[in-house]
Amino acid sequence: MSGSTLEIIGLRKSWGRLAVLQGIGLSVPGGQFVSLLGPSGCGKTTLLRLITGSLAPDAGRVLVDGADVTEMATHRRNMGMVFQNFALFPHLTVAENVAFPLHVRKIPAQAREAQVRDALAMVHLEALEARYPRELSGGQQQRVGLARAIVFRPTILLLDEPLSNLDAALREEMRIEISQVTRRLGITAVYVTHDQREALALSDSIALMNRGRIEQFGVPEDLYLRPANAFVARFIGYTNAVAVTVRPGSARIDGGEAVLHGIDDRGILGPGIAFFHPGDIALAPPPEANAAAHDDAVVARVEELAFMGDHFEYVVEDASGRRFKANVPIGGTVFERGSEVSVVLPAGKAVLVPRGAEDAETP
Amino acid sequence: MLLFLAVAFYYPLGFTLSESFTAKSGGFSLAEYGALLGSRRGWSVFGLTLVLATGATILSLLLSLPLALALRRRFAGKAALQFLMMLPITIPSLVGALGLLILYDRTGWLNYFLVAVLHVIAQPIPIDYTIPGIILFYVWMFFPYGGLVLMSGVGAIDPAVEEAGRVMGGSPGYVLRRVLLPLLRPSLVAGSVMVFLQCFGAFSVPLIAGCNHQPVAVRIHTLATVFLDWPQASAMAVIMGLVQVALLLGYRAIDARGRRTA
Amino acid sequence: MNRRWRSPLRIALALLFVAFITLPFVMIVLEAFGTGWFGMRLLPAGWTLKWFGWAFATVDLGTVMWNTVVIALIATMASIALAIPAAWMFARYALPLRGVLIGLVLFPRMIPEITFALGVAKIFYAFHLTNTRLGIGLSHVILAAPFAVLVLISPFEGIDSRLLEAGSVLGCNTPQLWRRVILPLALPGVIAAALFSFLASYNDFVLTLMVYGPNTVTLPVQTYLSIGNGYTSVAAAISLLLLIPSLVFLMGLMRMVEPEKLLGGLKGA
Ligand SMILES: Nc1ncnc2c1ncn2[C@@H]1O[C@H](COP(=O)(O)OP(=O)(O)OP(=O)(O)O)[C@@H](O)[C@H]1O
Ligand SMILES: [Mg+2]
Repeated sequence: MSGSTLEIIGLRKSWGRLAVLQGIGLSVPGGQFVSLLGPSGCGKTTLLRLITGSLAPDAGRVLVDGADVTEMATHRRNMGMVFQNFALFPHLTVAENVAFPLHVRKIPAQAREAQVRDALAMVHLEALEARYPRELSGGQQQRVGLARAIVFRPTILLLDEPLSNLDAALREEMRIEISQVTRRLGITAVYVTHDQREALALSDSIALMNRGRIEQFGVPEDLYLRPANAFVARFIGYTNAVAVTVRPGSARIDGGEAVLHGIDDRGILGPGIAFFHPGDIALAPPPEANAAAHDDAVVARVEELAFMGDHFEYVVEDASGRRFKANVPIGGTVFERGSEVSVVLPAGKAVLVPRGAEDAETP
Repeated sequence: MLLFLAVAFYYPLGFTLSESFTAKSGGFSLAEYGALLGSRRGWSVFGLTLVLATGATILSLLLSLPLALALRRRFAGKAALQFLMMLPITIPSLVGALGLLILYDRTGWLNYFLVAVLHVIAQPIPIDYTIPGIILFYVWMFFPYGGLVLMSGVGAIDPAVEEAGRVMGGSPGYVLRRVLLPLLRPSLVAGSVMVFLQCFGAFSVPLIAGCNHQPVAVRIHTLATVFLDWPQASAMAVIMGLVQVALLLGYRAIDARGRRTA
Repeated sequence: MNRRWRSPLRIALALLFVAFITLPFVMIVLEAFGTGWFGMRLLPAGWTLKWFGWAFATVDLGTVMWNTVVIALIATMASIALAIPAAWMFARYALPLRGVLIGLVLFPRMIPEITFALGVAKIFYAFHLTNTRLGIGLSHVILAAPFAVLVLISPFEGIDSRLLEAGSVLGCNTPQLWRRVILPLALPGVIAAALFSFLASYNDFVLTLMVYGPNTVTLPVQTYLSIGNGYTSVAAAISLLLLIPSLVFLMGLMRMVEPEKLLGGLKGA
């Protein structure tokens, strides 16, 4: 079985005067795994509920395999969903919970039992089928939720932050399980999360949402290497930002002499922001000792340093109050708190985005 | 405290007990119980009480359940509605009974409204002083006990569970039958018991709107104050108290077992 | 959800429901203030206060109200006085048979009022207590005190014992500790218990009906007597006075607590 295509066109939804979704468009090919990534409250759950029909949109349409389902009743849409807070039926056992969608569809008892067993096996819960949800750990409950959502082979599977209630180790394990299950079944999956690492690891493509809009939609590498704007860059994990003025092939750091030569300008000319990962920034002795060697460096003072095992984590601040975070491997020179350093910003590792009005005061 | 209750409550209660076991000539006797349980009269009083209470309990649930389900979401005016529901059970029951009597009397406002204004019926229908009428009055006065229990029961259900039922393919009716109602069962039981006990002990309504239909509480009052047959009244009171305590204990047992398995 | 409420059927049902609950009250108000309204009109022909006048003139309503309030105050004070030590014991000490004792205290609220009202009446007749407000007031303690204990247990449980130690260390003896530490801390609970007690007595009908005498008629009893005499309008006027404390109480309460938590019965049957 292969998944259905899902197409969302111009969806809008407001709660009173709060416009939660302001025109969402998204197109998911059959069998793809798409993440909806965004900060809390940006409208991710609302978008899922519009897809399932639990909410009616103010405007816009939802198409499945090209057919308009916007007006279709929820229970006819044949979608599976894993809920943020599990939402298992508390009065039913694990097996009964998983059997629920099959009962609804009037699957004969024999086939039903076999399918329930399959689904439970897929999430490694065969042994617990007679338990009630309250007798399960969070991770087990979430597995039941997953089994219940896939047991009837829906063509679209929606997952609403399925890992957010689990501890770190379980999260890792469940993430792999979800990935395997969805790919094995070839289901089209829409996965909601606010954790960018989860999204990057799992997805065929990512829609990054902010305040009811999609900021960028693309494959993970795209969002990571070519973020569309400062919000995307920050959300995807770039912590160091400097305001720059971009010319073809180079960028001058504002408020100083340093220039990033050979930067990938991505066609952005004029005001921009250059982002760096902490691991890409190097620290060197201050310029008096080694003048003019680093054209691409700014002078700063060490504010904080912490030993993290395999690296030192530095926080440095330059004369204009700009802060950088740098992760420096052990083995090199150690700079004490308060000492002057030269912060080397490697042009080759920089990610440039245009600087809009809303980014004027920061980076 | 216990001492006071011992004097003011348990002593009179014991008095009632001993009175009920005293023969007309003095000395211990079960004659009063024999007279009560051996007569058609005695049984008919309890029968009437049960019919009234059962009917009112069923109707109250039929009213409360849709109400609680319809009101499960937030909406403007919900607090006002809850205030209204609190009214019948907070005010002195006599006041409610008087209002009901004026409204539903044969020559009352409702009959006038139906006959002369709406012209939906030709003749006034007798409501007060009839058994269905008393049941209706009970419903008005006691359904909020069930309604409020059910509302809090409905409020305790995670809305996502219902949503899950719909998304997994359950039609609204199916989700109601297979998800909501099973989850509401403890509230349904608790609500019925509350309403039933209130109806069982009801006094004011049947006293002024019952006429010849005298359920237990009113019958006890009549026996004691009109016929001055205190021993018979006491025997009836003892049975009434026992039935009520048995109902309460039964409910507790069910509730405790429900808690253990649910 | 709003869309669903706009449908005419739902609005009609909602209105019907509101009418079902409120119409009896509307009737009482119309009856109490209206004239020329013998069921043959939708609204009374005229408006008047004469029924209230009649009530004061014919049944000495002033005395009845005074009786009701005095009896309720006696019941309230006695209940609180009894309930505070009892609730304190239940809240702070691991009593043997605690469950049984609480059960015994609450038992009066679990059985129909009429069952023990009989015995109380018998005794009141024997000792000629029916005609004293004190006697009736004390009998109402049976109704009010169990509630007061129930209401007071949790505020007493909530008092941090370190505060009591602090009070003792600072030199309070036991009465001072109660006056300066415990009661101020539990004040909201005590006030709630007092209000419950007052209302239980003020509204009581069944027990009072069995034990009242000519000089201790209360508002509920008088309402009943007036209905029995066929003076419906006078009865309606009296019942409006009878309603006032309940309404005030309910409005205050709705502001403070969720209505579902208030179950447990505020009145007699
Ligand atoms: N039923 C509702 N009534 C009113 N406002 C709502 C309702 N549901 C959601 N909202 C509002 O809509 C906005 C988006 O909510 P939504 O649940 O879609 O966010 P989310 O992206 O899923 O957040 P999270 O990551 O915290 O789950 C929030 O501001 C929320 O307060
Ligand atoms: Mg959410």
